[in-house]
Amino acid sequence: MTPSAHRPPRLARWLLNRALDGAARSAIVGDLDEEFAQFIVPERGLRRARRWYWRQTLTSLAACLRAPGVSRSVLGEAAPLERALIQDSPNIGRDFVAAVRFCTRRPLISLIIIATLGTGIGASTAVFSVVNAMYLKKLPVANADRLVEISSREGGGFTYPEYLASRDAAGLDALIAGGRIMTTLGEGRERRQVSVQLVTGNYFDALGVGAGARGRVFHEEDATPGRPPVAVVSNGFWRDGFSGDANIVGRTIRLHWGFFTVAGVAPEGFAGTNIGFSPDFWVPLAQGATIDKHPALLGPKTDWLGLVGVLSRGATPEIVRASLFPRWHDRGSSPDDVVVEPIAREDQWLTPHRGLQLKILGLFVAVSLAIACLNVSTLLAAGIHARQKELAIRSTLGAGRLGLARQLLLEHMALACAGGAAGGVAGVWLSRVLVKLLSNYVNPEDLDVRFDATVIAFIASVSLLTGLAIGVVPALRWSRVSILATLQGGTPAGFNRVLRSVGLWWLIPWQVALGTVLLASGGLLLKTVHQLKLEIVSAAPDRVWFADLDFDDMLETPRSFGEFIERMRTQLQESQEAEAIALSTFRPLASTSRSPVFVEGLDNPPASRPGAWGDWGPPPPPPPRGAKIEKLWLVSAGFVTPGFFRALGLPLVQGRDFTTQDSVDGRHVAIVNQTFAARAFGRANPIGKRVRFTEAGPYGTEIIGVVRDLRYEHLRDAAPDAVFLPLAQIPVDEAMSPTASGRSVPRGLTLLIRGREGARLSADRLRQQIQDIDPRPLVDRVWTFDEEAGRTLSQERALAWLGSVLGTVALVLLLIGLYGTMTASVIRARRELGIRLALGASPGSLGAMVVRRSLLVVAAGLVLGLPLSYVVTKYFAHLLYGVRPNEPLVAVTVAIILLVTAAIAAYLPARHAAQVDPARALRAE
Amino acid sequence: MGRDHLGRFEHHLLLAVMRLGDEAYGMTIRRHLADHTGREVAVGAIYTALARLEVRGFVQSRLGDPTPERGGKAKRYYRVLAAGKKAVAKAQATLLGLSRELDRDLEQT
Repeated sequence: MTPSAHRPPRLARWLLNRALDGAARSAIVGDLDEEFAQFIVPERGLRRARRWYWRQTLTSLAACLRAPGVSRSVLGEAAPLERALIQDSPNIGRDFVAAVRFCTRRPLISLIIIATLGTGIGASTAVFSVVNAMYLKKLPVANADRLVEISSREGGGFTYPEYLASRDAAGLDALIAGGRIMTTLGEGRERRQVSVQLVTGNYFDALGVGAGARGRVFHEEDATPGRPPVAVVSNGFWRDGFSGDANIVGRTIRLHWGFFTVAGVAPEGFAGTNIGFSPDFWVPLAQGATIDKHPALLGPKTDWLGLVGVLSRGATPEIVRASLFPRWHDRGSSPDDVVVEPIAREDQWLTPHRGLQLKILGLFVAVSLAIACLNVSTLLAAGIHARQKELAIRSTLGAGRLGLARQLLLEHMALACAGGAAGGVAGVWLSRVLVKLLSNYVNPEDLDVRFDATVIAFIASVSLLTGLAIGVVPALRWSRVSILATLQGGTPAGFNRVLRSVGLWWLIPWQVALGTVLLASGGLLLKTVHQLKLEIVSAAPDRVWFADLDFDDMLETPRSFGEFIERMRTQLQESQEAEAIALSTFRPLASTSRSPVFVEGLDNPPASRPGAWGDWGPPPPPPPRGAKIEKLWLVSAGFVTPGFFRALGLPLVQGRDFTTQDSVDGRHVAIVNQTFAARAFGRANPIGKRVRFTEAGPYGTEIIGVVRDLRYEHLRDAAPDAVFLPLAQIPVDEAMSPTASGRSVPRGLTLLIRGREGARLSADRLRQQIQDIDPRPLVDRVWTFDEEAGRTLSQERALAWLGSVLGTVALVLLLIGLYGTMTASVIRARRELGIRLALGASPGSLGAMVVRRSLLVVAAGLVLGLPLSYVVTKYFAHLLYGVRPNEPLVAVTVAIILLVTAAIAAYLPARHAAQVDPARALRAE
Repeated sequence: MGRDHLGRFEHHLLLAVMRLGDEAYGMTIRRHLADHTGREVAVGAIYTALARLEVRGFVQSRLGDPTPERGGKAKRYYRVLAAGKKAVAKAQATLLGLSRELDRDLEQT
């Protein structure tokens, strides 16, 4: 044996041994070893000899792979032909390489198949990566599986003294409390709205979160009063709002009234315990009171905190519940009213109804993937049928049906792998698009859709399943073809028999059926969007602009509002552009605040309408509340200035509008809308009736007017019961900003402007004009009613768009699949066609036969698909508006589209059939 | 294309096998060709070409004895059959016919 230093490279030899079989291996490896040892090493030295060996290995492998299979087998033993051609031990690696080789020999078909699969797999991956980011990934904190949310069954927040009393409950390693506020950062013209979470000092330590890119986080000792106020900025805001300032640590920032020193930046990806609503800053509770100068933030009457606990190891929620219950007063009647639940990710940011959107998305994507698989199956089946002869020979010569089936399956798996890789790449891009679509609900920063092990495992398993799905059926189907008949000169394949034998009779109809589902869903959603848009046009006041203003305590007394309004009104009207101006505490089409109302003389108040949160799902079940709350009549309540209704173009059907006489010192008055009046008073005159908003006390508010309805909360819902009160009479509790005189004024209001006909207002000009009149308020957003209405439609639009796009893709796939199948069948059935022509059939009738077949196949699919799509659309019927799931117009349109597609697909094959030369067809085969 | 058409590589292969006689197997053929053409040929390409030639009936192969230098692997020897010799002769004649009277030209380059 040669000394070990002179051995050929082991990896090269291993490659050769794996790729070659029996006799070829013997000959080639033996030759190379011999030459290596005896000639090359002495001639050229060891290093260059090894390089020579590698070159020989690679070129020899290439030559062997390029060789047709027959000659490889002939390299076997010098034995009778049949035995020589029997494959020895199955070699998956070699077969896979052969499969890849086969696919690369037909680039066009392979590319089509890979693109089809890639689209389906890519879409599935995108949806899954979003689902992964939302539901499956753990919260990026150290003890994510021990975090529990603690609340009371009847709802409501907690006060700071309650937190202190609960802190040392048994079963908890730590208890943290926190609440979120919106406030302004900075001063003067550079102010901007930010969200701040006020938390107890142990927040970061309890969650096991350390410092991020810069600085440090705060701890318990920072939270004691008297220590310098600190804040931690979130990674996202540090990068956007502070441009990733490297010197952020130690900088002093102003949050409304309070000054804080930035202690550090939170780690990337940390969003607190409310994923999707991550705050921009975290500030210790003890120092947070300085922000808004709230006198009683930590007092016993302010119940606004949420509680999160870290379960001790081995502790159960029962222990915690039993320990907490005695510490709480007036919160339920038994320990069962203490709710201790692990923080589920989906509760963080999606109500169950928003989860529905993802489910529908997933349904569309799954259907698309199924269509892609069926389509690819069709193409592969047609292709196999065309290769019948070659496969039959291979089978006879010893490969056996099983070996052949395995070979075919490997080819299909190779395609599926390539499709999976393409799908992974496409999925990266598609998932970003999806995040953008969802950004109306959640902070896109918090959606980490980067591919982690879970997503990659998903891609791999979907590719594998796809490969099996597309591969198994054609491979099995093939093995039923009679080998002998094929070898004897081809089956005298009738046109119909060809179609049947490859199982195309059921592949294509199912494709059509699933495509129908997509097209019908997309169509219904499109019609829904259209109907809703009509609602906007008919119901929406035009020329109405909104601007969100933040006063930041510039208006010291409620009387200053009147002055501010007057100034605005006169100056804007002088500029001939505004017809009416008003301020209010709410915006139409945004969810309003609710208040209980008690009507004098009405002992049986109507039931409260369920609140609409702007999402679409079945109405939520009424919350399990105590008996007393159920009897309350909750209505939308808002505070407005005189002129509000004029600005919206709503006439008063009875009574009068507010005036400046309805001021803070005057009688308390209210205006209700038609729905309220009808439900409370029926046909009786509501003017002069009295109401109150507290549980006890005099009915101090008199109704002075009834205004026409408007859909205040969502375009889909009927108008809610609404009551309007003068802004000047806003009670102390409503406000959030105490002034020196002890009264309170609201901090933020919406300015409504109705432009004059013909006036060309724009967001920038309005903003400029407002600031010119008074530079003090912060003008946050300026936009029109139309834009707001359009925004509320964004989800329906997104789904309609998605359904239509996927439906169109399915249509294209169907076209390709039908075309391929028809063409293959015509080619195979040439002989029959020739016979028919010879017997006197006209070419036109042959073409018509092809087209008829195509239409019939698609019609079969429609018969399957229309009932199926009805069932599916009933599933999301509550999303629809103005259309029924079985709307005939949509069904007929879809049917027509599909039949036309079938005709188009069959056109070229029909021409081909009509042009068959009977003489040649009968001779050839 | 006639049934006994030879490509250039196959032509060289058959000549090499005829020249090497009893010692014609993969390695020797390869080295022989490398020496004469000045190009490295892959031994795998030699075997696949010889296998094709064997199917066409121009050569015949047999297994030799395993030797220690080859790590116990047997050698596969080839010899040219009559049909192969006829094909080579034809190829040579073609070459001669094409290059007749061009010798002087060729010599000068």
